[in-house]
Amino acid sequence: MNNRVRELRGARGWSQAELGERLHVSRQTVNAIETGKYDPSLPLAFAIARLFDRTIEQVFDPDAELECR
Amino acid sequence: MQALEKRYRRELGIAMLAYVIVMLTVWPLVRSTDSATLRVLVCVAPLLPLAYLLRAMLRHVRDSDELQRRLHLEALAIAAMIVSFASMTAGFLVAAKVIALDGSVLLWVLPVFALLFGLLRGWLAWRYDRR
Repeated sequence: MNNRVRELRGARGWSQAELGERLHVSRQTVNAIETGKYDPSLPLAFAIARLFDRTIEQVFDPDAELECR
Repeated sequence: MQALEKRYRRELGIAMLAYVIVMLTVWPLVRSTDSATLRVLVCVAPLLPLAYLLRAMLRHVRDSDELQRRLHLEALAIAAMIVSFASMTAGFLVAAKVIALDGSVLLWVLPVFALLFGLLRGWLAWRYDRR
């Protein structure tokens, strides 16, 4: 699933580790979500969207599967 | 999350150190006593740090985030399958009198399981990163 997490994180000037701390997940998990290797659970997806003041649909695009998957 | 890793490594270190100390200081007493009670106590002594190790592993899995937990559980499942399969293989070979093993071989089950878990956990994380 494609997403805008990296873009939104970059706009706030946060590192992956900083975003991980805010979401209570590891840096590796943030990286896996950003690169589309891992699709977060619904509660984590909501937490991400809430953190960036967006709706889930504004952050995650279920129709745009990454080519590498 | 970094704090979680630090806690796990600290608890792992404490468990391993305590185990080594017990095996070097308490375990040798098993050869020098005929008291059944003391022998039981000597046998229980190494189990305490191992129980602490299992508690640390459980806490680590429980407190990890969802992706890490998935990797932990996958590593635990594969390690359990390998150790179970190896145990069954050895059991059949012993039952068929192809090889001879005494009961002390069971001492290897937990260390091999823990080692396999650690190696598989690292391999799965590496595989996830390079995917």
